[in-house]
Amino acid sequence: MTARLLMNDRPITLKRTDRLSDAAEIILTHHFRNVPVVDETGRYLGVISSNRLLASILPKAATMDEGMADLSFVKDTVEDLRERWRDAENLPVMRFIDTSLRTVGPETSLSETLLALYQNRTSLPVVEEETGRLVGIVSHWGVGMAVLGRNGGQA
Amino acid sequence: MSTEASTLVLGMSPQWFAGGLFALTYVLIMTERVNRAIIALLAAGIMIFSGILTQETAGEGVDGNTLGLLIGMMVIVAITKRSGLFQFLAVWSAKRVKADPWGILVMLAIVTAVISAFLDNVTTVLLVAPVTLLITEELKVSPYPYLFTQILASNIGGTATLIGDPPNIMIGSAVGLTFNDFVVALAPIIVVILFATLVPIYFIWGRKLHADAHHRERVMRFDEREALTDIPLLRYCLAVLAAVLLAFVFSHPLGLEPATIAMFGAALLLLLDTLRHHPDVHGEKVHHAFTEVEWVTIFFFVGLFIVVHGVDATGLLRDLANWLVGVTGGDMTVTALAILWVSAIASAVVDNIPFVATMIPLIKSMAPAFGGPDGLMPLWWSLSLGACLGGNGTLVGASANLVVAGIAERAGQPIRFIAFTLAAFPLMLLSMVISTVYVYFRFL
Repeated sequence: MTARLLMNDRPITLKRTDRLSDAAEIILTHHFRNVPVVDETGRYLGVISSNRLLASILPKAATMDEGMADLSFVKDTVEDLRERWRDAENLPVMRFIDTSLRTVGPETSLSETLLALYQNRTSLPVVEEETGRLVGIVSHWGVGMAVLGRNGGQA
Repeated sequence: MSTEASTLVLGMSPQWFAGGLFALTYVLIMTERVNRAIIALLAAGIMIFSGILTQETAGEGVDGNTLGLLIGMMVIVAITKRSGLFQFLAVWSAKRVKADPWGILVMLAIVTAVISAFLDNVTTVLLVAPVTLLITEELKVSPYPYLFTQILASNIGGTATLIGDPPNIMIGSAVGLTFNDFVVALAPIIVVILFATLVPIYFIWGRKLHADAHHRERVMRFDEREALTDIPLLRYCLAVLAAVLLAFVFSHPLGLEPATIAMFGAALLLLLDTLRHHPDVHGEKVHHAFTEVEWVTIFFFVGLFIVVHGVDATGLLRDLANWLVGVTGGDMTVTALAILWVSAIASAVVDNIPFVATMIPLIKSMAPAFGGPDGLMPLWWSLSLGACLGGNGTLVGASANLVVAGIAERAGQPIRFIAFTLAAFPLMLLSMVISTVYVYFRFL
């Protein structure tokens, strides 16, 4: 059994030209933790995570590496957050892309796929090694469905 | 020295060998291909293997006072920064000027300079720069002029006291100068230089800084008291910092060396901090505080002290000092101003720590030409002003410069080497012109 049998082979994706608002729409509608971004040929580029959306409405001084660890003295209102979102929503997703997420190939073994999913703590992109194309995504829910024998054992 | 030997080392005279090893060490440090602490320690080992120094004489070259003062202050800072004191000061100062963009730039420059005078510059900018980014983000103004000014302010402020910058710690320790000696001799001109530096910055950037009322109001809503995350710890830190500074001020009548004061203050603060917690976590607390000590810098100092001591032991620095005195005709004014300007230009492009470590024995060797050790005072102040302020000349002139550049890069506001140098080098020269006038009229 390999990652191919666990993955959703028709994942919802973002294009490199999409805006942050497109990512927010997908993440909020489907309650995803992340959405893969692909180029025109379907090559995997990275993901936009719900955490990156959150970062876009937080001060950059806090979300950057070795930034401020404490913001208790900042008294932002919801309107301030909306203002930050208005500044960020039309920015291209590529500005917020996360390329650090671990990926697996479609023929990666079941145990290795589950370990990678566990270490990622979020959905796992399945990428063909030869072409770099995104061929599917393995989610915690998909694995659960497969283990419980629902949905024909496929995610 | 083990011997001002006539024995050859690898077919070379000890002077040539030590001088060559020192030059190679310097070049390798400058190339930054290998960590500078590794280079310095390897060179120190070679200095001993070659027979120029023994382990005992090498140990005599290591200035325990400099190391103790550095380590003690690093531990105190590591604990104090957890209290939120520095964020408090930055936010408080921004609100004192009603969140006016130029006013904030001036206030943050003053805060940076004052903190740098008492703590190390890198720690200061690491604490102030992120708050600066936050404030400028809220004001919707470019952080560049603020971060640029903070680089300059940290190096300028650090020049004012014995503990503000490593060159001063080294000079103070080697010559026996007290905290008060530095404050009396250098603090007045440092205030002048800081404000003189702000004038061109106003004309380059300051006059164009504007923020609308809505964004200023967002900064005014900051509650600086909330930045103080651990009030009991803050009280302990302020008490220990005040005691340490008082001890520095009265170190001469108390007969105490700065390292003793700093290390005792660090131990006292560690005790007060750990006693608040369960004994099970005492070890973890102490371990955490000690991991914040910049051991790479400390071991770099150890290696460097040995290398320079080896060069000194061969008599090379004494010969070089005699040659320099000959070149300047034994004229104190020419020698002092030459040291001031050469130190500044050198420190703008190379690490000022090895430069000062080399200059100290060299200047000491000039004592006979200038009527003994007391006659050298103008040279020590020239070395301090040149080595500390010279760091402002380029982006690689001081560690704090690179740290701010790194923070700016991560925030998407990169500070480029050329752009920084084009603006900073003339400002560094301005500080040197002011220092020249000051040294001439005050000390010569």
